[in-house]
Amino acid sequence: MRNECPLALTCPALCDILKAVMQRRFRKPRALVAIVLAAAFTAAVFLLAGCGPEGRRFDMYGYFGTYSSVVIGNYGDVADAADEAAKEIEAALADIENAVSASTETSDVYRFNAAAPGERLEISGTAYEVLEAAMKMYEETDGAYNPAVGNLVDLWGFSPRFESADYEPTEPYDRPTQSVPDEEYIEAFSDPALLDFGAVVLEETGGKYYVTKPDASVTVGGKTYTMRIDLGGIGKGYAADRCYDLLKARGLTESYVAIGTSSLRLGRSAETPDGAPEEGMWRVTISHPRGAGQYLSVYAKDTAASTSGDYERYFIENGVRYCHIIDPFTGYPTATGYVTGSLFGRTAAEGDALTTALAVMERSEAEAFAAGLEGCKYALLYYNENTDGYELVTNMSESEYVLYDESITVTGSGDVG
Amino acid sequence: MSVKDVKNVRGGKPFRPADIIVYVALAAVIVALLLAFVFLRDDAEAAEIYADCGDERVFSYSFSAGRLTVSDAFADRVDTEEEDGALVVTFWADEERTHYNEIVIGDGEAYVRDANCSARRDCVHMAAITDSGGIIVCVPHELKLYATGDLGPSLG
Repeated sequence: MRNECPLALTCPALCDILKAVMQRRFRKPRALVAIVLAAAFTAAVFLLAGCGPEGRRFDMYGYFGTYSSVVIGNYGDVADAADEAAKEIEAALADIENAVSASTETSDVYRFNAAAPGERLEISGTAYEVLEAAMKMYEETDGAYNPAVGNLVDLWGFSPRFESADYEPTEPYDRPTQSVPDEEYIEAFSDPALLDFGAVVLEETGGKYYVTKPDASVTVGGKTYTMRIDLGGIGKGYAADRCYDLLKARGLTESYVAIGTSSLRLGRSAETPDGAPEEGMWRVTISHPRGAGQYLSVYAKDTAASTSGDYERYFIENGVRYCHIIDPFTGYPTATGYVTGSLFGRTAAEGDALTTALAVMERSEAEAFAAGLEGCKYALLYYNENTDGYELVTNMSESEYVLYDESITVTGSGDVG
Repeated sequence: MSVKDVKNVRGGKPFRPADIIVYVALAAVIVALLLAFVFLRDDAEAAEIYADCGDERVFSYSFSAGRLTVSDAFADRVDTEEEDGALVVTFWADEERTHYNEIVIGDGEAYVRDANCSARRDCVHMAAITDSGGIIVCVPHELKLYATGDLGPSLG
């Protein structure tokens, strides 16, 4: 049997050179091949080594009162498609903001909030899709995620109106700075009819979209209030999903879309970070809720990710922390010990709603609910008053995340449902 | 190895003219690989942080050299001071020096400690850039901080 070179099929030229070197019977044509091959190999090495961060396209956009960033890998190979996708993403973000913004007077949400009880409004297809997703999550979480908390969010001082740089008190309940509001308003705005998001009617007829506002109102302090919705959270997730779909449609899957610090859609990373258990994963870092830097990083790819926490928007009064996540069952900011929670899986819109709902649920209920989310990975950080310590509840295996704060204890099965 | 074998090796001519070309070419490849590995790999210790305003570079910081390089165009809008072993870089977003981001660099990470960009100050709440990657963005000030590492996203 003839002794075949193992490279004979995949690289016959290299095989010839190796044979020639071994047999020391080189002639000029082969020497030429060797030179060409060496030069090509050298060039390839330098080209590959040059595909670092400079080979990425990094765009940022200012919508929803926050930033959005889009990173596309191997930009040199996909420049034309990436340029076109960037234009589409800009248009999509503007469209979504015009649908869900609570402060833009022409937006669908603004018009809904300003409408009279029982009024039927024509809305954009985008607003319809976001409302439909919100309704689905409202039902799935038994109302723990409830976008009808708009009045309470404004009352507690967490609405865009209150947080804007040129804020001036205009409502009877307004205070100069964030503080605990009058109890009579908390009670009035917690009226079950005002919070009955399930009573919102969505219709699609003849290619047009409509929403009917529930016929509910409360009068307090001499003024009548109707249902107000807040789609800020789920709207960002929806934006991440839609922007990533635009990238995917152009084959730009080595990418990710981040809307603010709460919503992500991940494709694959062109450069796998050290320690990642699989090729193409991104390392997603999660801010430390009680200090500088990060407390956790998670390796993930081809998925959505969302986070909700009590530490970005909050105030402290008499030693009590009041965060921006309002419990629709009490009318108060959540106080379940939930510090921050991240969910990997499903869509970013759903993840945004689910992490908000998890913050509202009591810890045991939240743990059971998270464990039942099929195919999702989660990391829920709780403060335990009894031990004065922080506890991470996760179903991820140790290879999937890095915990940077050694004072945090970890519980979890490592099983993804 | 026997004396006969040694004589055979010495008697051979391993460096025929054509072979020399091949050896030189292979040596070039090896040297190129070595150079690429040493100078071009995405090594955490060799990572740098970049700060861009719009499309212009404001400054860069080398973790390995512990060196800050401020662009000439922003020399009047960047202040630095040492604080507990860390470098505190203040970036002034306007010529009047009224809007700022205060960036702390040290211990293999960088983060925005303070800013007066907006009420929500997203940039202050974003996870730190480590010497292997990360991004911090301040839209109102058009400031973008990122590392040469994996450029992974951050939540929180």
